[in-house]
Amino acid sequence: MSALSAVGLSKSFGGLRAVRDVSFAVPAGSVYAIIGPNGAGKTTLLNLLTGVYRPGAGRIFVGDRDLTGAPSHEYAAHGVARTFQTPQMFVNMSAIENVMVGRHCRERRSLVAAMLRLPSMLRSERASRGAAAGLMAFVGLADRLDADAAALPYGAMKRLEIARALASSPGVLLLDEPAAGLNPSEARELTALIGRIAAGGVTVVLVEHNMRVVASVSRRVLVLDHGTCLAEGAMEEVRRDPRVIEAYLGTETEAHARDPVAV
Amino acid sequence: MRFASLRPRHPGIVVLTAVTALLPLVLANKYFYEVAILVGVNAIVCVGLNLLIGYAGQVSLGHAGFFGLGAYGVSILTGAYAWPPLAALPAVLVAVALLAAAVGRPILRLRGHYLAMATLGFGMIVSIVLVTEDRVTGGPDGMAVPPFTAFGFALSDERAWYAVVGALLVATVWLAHNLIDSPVGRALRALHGSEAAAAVSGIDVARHQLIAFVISAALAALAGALAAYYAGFITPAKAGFMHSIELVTMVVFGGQASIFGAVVGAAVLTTLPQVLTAFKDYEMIVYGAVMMGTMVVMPRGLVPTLAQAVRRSAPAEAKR
Repeated sequence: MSALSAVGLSKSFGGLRAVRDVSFAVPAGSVYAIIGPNGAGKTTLLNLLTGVYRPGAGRIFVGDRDLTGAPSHEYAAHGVARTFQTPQMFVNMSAIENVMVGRHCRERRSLVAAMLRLPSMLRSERASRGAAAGLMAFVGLADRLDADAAALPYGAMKRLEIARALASSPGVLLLDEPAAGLNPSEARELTALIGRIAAGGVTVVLVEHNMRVVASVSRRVLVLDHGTCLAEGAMEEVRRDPRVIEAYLGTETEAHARDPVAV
Repeated sequence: MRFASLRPRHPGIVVLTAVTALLPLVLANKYFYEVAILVGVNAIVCVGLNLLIGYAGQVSLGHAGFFGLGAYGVSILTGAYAWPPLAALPAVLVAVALLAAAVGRPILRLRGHYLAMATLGFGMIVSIVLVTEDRVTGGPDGMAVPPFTAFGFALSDERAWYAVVGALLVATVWLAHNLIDSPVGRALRALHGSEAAAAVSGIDVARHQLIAFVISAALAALAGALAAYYAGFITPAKAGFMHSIELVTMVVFGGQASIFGAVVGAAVLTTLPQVLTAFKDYEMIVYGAVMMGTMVVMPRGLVPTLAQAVRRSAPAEAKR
């Protein structure tokens, strides 16, 4: 069964057709990559898949549930979590509180229990804090629990955002260019982290420019170009697809052969 | 760890309780009590307004409208309809909360200046209605409010009023702190930080903005009702634009996203005009100057700026 799928998805901004008739299915338990040149519509697609934008046409399924047109928080409630290209920290909160926000849809949210600080709320808060601390250790930020989220280094923010996304116990995790702005050793650590997340049974959808990261963690890939789906399938097949080589991967793999990190 | 929940999480709440309890020792006469009660009333509004402005990041220039509705609501119910105050007060709070929910739903979709304009419009409507419906409200001259009576006793003594307002302020601060330290409070702070990230983290942004709006409106109405019963007389000015501006100034001056900042802001800016009675005509100029000065010198407000200064100097001392 597919964890996340789209049928005939389209989105226009004025005259610009950012995403045109894109269909794909992400198999559960896999690492699925979405690649394409700048402006290909990758981030727009991710925004559609998390309810940030409403699609102009087409349908989106999470598991077998149709969530087309639902607001973002409902995607989260049904197990879709994501990170952003530039980390979106909650700047007025500590690192661990940022992660605890991620648990929002799994927490007890009664206003009365919260204001009176009833025992049920205290238990729920303790559980949240424990889970958040565990996730921060998982992404390698165990020593930064009470750090000011806005003051973290860039790489740490990216990992904190992943911890926050994982806090909702998602079935599908969408990562928007997680390796962007990271140095090669940080990118390697990140690749290992994505592997550990996938090994834990979370389906990962990866939007990425860094081909080394994509090639080392994902087996299936969707190639976007000018908002349309150029190719979709197993990594090896897509790499050999002449259209892909012509439009995007060809020059990229040549560059890749010379310098495996630069893209 | 087992008793961690019993430890005060915020030393500030102990300080506030102590100050409130000990203040009568220096309140020399009736006039001092009057100012202290006024501080308490404004502080209750500001703690609520700070949940909205400071934590959730939504500006309101119309909260005096809710204050006025609370004040006029209880005085009309207690006066014209002879309801007992203990029934009138909760009825008015519920009615204002419902009204805030109805008004807030459409206007909280607006952002920034547009939301400020919409709340401003709401405040003006309330103020105009209170002035023109003079058969019920007494019009621009205002109306007398029957005394607050409960269980056969009338609350009239300044000391008793001080105790009631002080206890309600401490309770409000405690409830607000609990809220901020809960999933709801984190959701409010998160949507202020990044609305998109909050939404994809599972937070229903519109619902939480509405929660903050309704709570702040209800607290403003509570303060308005207390002020009306205490003073025994109300005028529509208390529901007007200037009062809304004063309240926002108190929140910004004291410190956004700081509950004690709201209390301190209310205390300083309520007392200031009393001290500056010689400059009575220039009160609004003083307010404006305080607002501008705050934005330039300490944009985060008095209490957060001081707290940061203390935190910065503490590790330096530890090293020595």
